[in-house]
Order: sequence, then C-alpha cells, then structure tokens
Amino acid sequence: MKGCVNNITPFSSVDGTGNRMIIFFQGCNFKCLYCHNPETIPFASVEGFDEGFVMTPNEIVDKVKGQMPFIRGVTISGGECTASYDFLLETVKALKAASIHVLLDTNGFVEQDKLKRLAVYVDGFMLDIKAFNNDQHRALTGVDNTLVLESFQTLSRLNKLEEVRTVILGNIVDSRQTVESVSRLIALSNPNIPYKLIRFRKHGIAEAGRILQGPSDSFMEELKQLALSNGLESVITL
Amino acid sequence: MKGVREVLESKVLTYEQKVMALAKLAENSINPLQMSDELRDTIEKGIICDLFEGNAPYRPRYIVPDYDLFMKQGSRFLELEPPQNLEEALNNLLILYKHVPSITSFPVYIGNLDTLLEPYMTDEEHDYQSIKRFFIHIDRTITDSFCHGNIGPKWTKAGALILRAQRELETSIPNITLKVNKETEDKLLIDSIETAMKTAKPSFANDDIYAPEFNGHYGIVSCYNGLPIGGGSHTLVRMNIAKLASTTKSKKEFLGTALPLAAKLMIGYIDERIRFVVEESNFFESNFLVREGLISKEKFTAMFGLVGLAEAVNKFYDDGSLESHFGHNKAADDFGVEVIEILEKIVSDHYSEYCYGSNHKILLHAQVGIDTDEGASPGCRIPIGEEPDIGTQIKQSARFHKYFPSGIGDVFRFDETVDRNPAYVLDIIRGGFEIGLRYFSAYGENADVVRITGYLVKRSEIEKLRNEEQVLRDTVALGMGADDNQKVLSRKLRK
Repeated sequence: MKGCVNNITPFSSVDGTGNRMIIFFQGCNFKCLYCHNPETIPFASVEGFDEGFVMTPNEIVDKVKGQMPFIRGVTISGGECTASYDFLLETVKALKAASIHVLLDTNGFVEQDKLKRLAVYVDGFMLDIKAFNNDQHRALTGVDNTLVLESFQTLSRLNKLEEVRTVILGNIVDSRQTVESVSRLIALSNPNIPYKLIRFRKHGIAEAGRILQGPSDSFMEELKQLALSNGLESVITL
Repeated sequence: MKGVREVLESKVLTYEQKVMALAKLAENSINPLQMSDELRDTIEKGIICDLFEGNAPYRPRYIVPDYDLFMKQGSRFLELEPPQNLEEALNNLLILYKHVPSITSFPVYIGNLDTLLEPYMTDEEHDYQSIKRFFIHIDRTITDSFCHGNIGPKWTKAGALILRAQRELETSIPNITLKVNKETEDKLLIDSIETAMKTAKPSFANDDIYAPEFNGHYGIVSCYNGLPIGGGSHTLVRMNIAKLASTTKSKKEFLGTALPLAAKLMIGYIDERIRFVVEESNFFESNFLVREGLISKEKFTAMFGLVGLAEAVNKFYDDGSLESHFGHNKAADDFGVEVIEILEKIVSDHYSEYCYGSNHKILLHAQVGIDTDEGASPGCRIPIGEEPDIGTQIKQSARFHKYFPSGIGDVFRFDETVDRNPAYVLDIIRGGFEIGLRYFSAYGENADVVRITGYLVKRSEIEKLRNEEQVLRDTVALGMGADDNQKVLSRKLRK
C-alpha cells in the first residue's frame, strides 16, 4: 500500500513534547479559511504525485528509524491524516510494531469506529477544535463540527487526548464562546489535558483568509484566564 | 602585540589588563627555546601557532587542581583549615582561585562545584544567597571567560542552586559544563537546558566517553578541554590545517608529505615547550600547589591542536557547489576523517617523555580558533553559514569526536520556541551522546550571554567595546574580533 506524503520535517520542537519527526500527509477534508498549508488540502493519487513523496508504511518506518536516537517519536499531521484512513492505519500499525511513539495531529472529523481502531496503535491525539458553534464552524471550515465533538468524547474516554488546540480569531468565530465551552469540556474530562490557544497570524495564508482578523494581546490573556478559571491546569498561549 | 608604551598609555585597558600585557612583553623579550629554522619558518607561515603562550613558558598552560583534596586538607601555605560550613568552603575556594596560574593568569578550572559544595548545604534560601555572592565574586575578579566550573553528573541541591544563580545573574564568567551520563536525571538536564537558553551555559559533556579515558578523574577546563584532575596540560600548540593544505597541490602531497612533516615539527615544538616548563622554569620545584599535592607532574599531558579541517578538505573537494563541501558530501567527510586518522597515528606513535598523565601520549585537541582567524573554522567544525540541519550536523560531527579526548565540540543557536519545549534539546543531546558526540553547547537567540567559540561573552559588552568603552573582562575583545572576522554570532538558527 502507498500513500501521498506532502513533506517530512526530521526534527520538530512544536509538535509534541521533546524532539519529534513530523510527517505531513497530503489531502484534507476541511477548507479552513486560515490554513497556512493550503498546498496540503487537495487529495492526490499516488500515480503522478510529484508535490511530495509517495511512500509505503514501511518506508515511513525506515525514515523515522533513520533519525533515532534523536527523536522520541513521530507526529503524523497534514492536511488531515485521518482522511487517508487506510494508509494511516497501516502506517501506525507498522510504527507501533517498531515500538515507535506516535502522536496524531487531527481535526477529529472521522467516524468513531475508525478513530477507536486508530487509537489502538496511537499513543496520543492532538485535537483541533476550531469553533464550538456549528454555524461558525461551517463558515470557517466548510464542514459541521458534530463529529469533531464526538471525537473529543471518544478520545477523552480512551484517555488518548495529548492536547486540545483552538486558533483564536478576532472575527468570524466567537472565540470567547469556543474557549468557554471547550475548556469546560476538558475540565469535565481531565483538567490536566493541555489546552493550547494559538493566535491567528495572517502570514502565509491563502486569499480566502484575508478577511480574518487576529486577536489582541489582551484578548489572548483574557481567554487564557477564562480557560484557567474553568478548572484547567495547563493553558498555553502561542 | 602592543609595545610597552602603547600598553601603559591605553585608555581602554584596565590596570589588571595592563599588568598582564606588560608581563607578556617581558616574557617575550627572551628566546630560550630551541627551535629549528624549519620550525620558525612554519610558524612564520601561520601553519603552526603557539596561541600566544609566550617565548619562555614558566608555568603549565592549563592547571587543574584537585579541589576535592583541597577541601579535605585545607592549605598550609595559604593558612587555611578544611572548611566546616558553606561560608568557609566558598571562602577557601575563592582564596585558592587567586593562586591558580594558567595561560590566562586566572584559574581555567574551578572545580566540580556541586559535589564540592553539597556536603555544606543546609538552608536552601540562605545557601542560595551565599552561592550567588560566590558567583558574583568570581565574575568580578576572575575577569576572563576561560574560567570553567563543572557540575553533575547527578542532581544535587547545590547543583540546582548553582543553575538558579546563573539564570538570575546572567554572567559570562564562569563557563560551566554539566557532565552527563546515562544516570543523569532528566530534571537536571531540563534545568540545565533552560539555563543554557538564557545564559549559554552549562554546556554538556558526555561523561560516558570522558570518564573511562581519564579513569573517572577529569575536569572540563578553559574552553572545553578534557584534562586530568590534579594535573592539566603543559602546553597547547595548534596547526592550521587549512593553511597547510593551501601550500600543497594535491591530496597525495598533502597527506603523504606536508601533513606528516608539519606534524613532526609541531610535536618537536610541543616537546620543547614542555621541556622548558619541566626542566628550566622550576615551576614544579617551587609552586605550593605541587608541594601540597593539589597538582603533580605525573598527571600532566599536552595538547596537539588543529583548526581549519573544513577548509583544508574543501580545497580538494570544492566544485563551486555547497553539495561538494565538507559537511554536505560524504567523500569530503571521509577525507576529513582520513586526515584526522593520519594525525592521530602520528601523535599516538610518538613518546612524549613528560606526558605522564596520558601514558606519554600527546592528545589531539580541536582548537576553537582565535579572534583573528580567517579562512579556518574551529577544529573539525562545518563553517558558519554552511551548517546543514542539526541532525545531519551532529551525525557528521560525531564521527570526529572519538579522536579528541582533550576537547572538541559544536555550538548551536536555538530559536525562542525551544524555551517552551526544552525536552527537544534534551532529546538531541541524549541522541547525540548515544552516537558518540563528546560535547554539546547551546544558547538561545535572545540571550545576552552567548558562546563565541568555546568561551562566553555578553553581547552588551561587545557593544561597549565597539563604542571604545572600557570593559572589565579581557575576553570581550576576543569575542568582538571573532564576531568581526568569523561572524560567530550569525550561526544558523535552530528551531
């Protein structure tokens, strides 16, 4: 089995604790207005894919092993890696067989059975919750957030939530409502799960995202305090 | 080198800096060493260099006192009893430091500080204030960045306070190294990394490599030199391999003729410098450190330094592309290893009479360069501006580390995002050490204290010197020169 990989970053300090290799799968089921990697959105066929690498799961494992002992694991991102489900499942199985620590970066838009099957082989999920209000979520990503919130519950029950993330905007999405609701969800599940509030930045985004505005410093701080006041132990602003 | 009047009349040098400069001028007014015309010619060409050690070495270049013994026995000459509490321990050390000579006239090694002080720990906050004062005293009186203290390899209360003091004080002196082995706790490593991002220290030494080489008794001194405790190094002379290669026309001539000839000349020079220290200077016959057993002639070695390997290799491999260069081209890197292996064999086959501390073998040393160097990178480093990604660089560099027991290392500048994830650096250090890296240095891009090549300087002090203001620490001038000539502050930024 082969899949399309957009890019590989051998060493990363921003995709999980410690040093990790990051593998970016091609193809995404969202079309977020603020996407910084719009070139990863289109799905591609392995025939003729030349925007990155066509790889087998074992080739991915070899790539990861090539950076041992410097990395403590691999984070699979994208695009949206769960959207290439079959390839992803085979890849994480191969990585787990090689005793490699695996984190997945995901928007959570995946059927729950599939998610549970993935979770057998994955050590942790970093889940993006982009908006709590469904209409705002659709306006931002083009898609409903029902599955996303179900994924939160599933991963929470499985104790596989590595962290939750929300990009904070000044418009389009009511970020205060999102942070209020998501932080309560996390607190009910496990207040030790880190919640990352990522400031929206215009740099590098596609044309569609030009209407978006970033938050002020004071708003970021306000949201951080809001999340902490709801009982969270770790709220990080970036 | 300035003349006497120039030194006397300087408005920039401090009084202490003037005295040391005048002493160097006096030493260099005689020429007692026996040197052949061929050797003098090679020195004149800049291929061999004594790193301003002086015409008449009257003390070993690097002295590494046994501070553990000093704490146990005190000192008769200095009229000091063994300390009974932390204040006495710190006071005794500061007094001894004033009497430890070296090439810089300041101590290049001040002890494995955490294990020295751990027996005297009582109240944390009280001890912290004392340790802080101790480091302020060192920074303001040992005004030379080649002063080096060690900590580790295990976590101690004293070590935690020492690191905390570095973060608060942000001084460039002393340099500090954490010895790291497989038993070093992650919490000590993380604490050290967070400190290094702020103050460019500690650096990290692979204790699992060093300890067996020195029977467990070594210190990391001056820039990053591994040397025996209770001894040190008589001398360090270096070869500019880049300059040597530039005088040859082929790899064959370089490897087969020029390199062995220059190495032989340099070994002869090293032995002559050692002979003068041991047989004519009367250092070992007169110094109280020897009388009291804090150092002994039997624990000294000597160092064969080199710079410019990258440029030497590139002379033969450069085709105009970066991909052909040392650090980017396996064949070029293999040639670099071949060069070092030839030198290693020459040095190992030579019997140096007074190098008792290393079984009569002179030790290879990757010299960190001097401020006036141009066209010669430190030791075996990839030139600044050509650095590959950090993983590739470490794997390439690790190939050379086993040949240099008396010191080699790379310096990495990290982006501020790493401040939120110090475990990233921890993974890189542990990974590097597992594949044979001997030494690792790092600093954060926003830190005022930065690592120049092996020693530390404050950026703010370099700016003062650029504005022709007086600075306390003599190494600031070296840092300024290194930045001007080698762009050392423009290392690749790692994220």
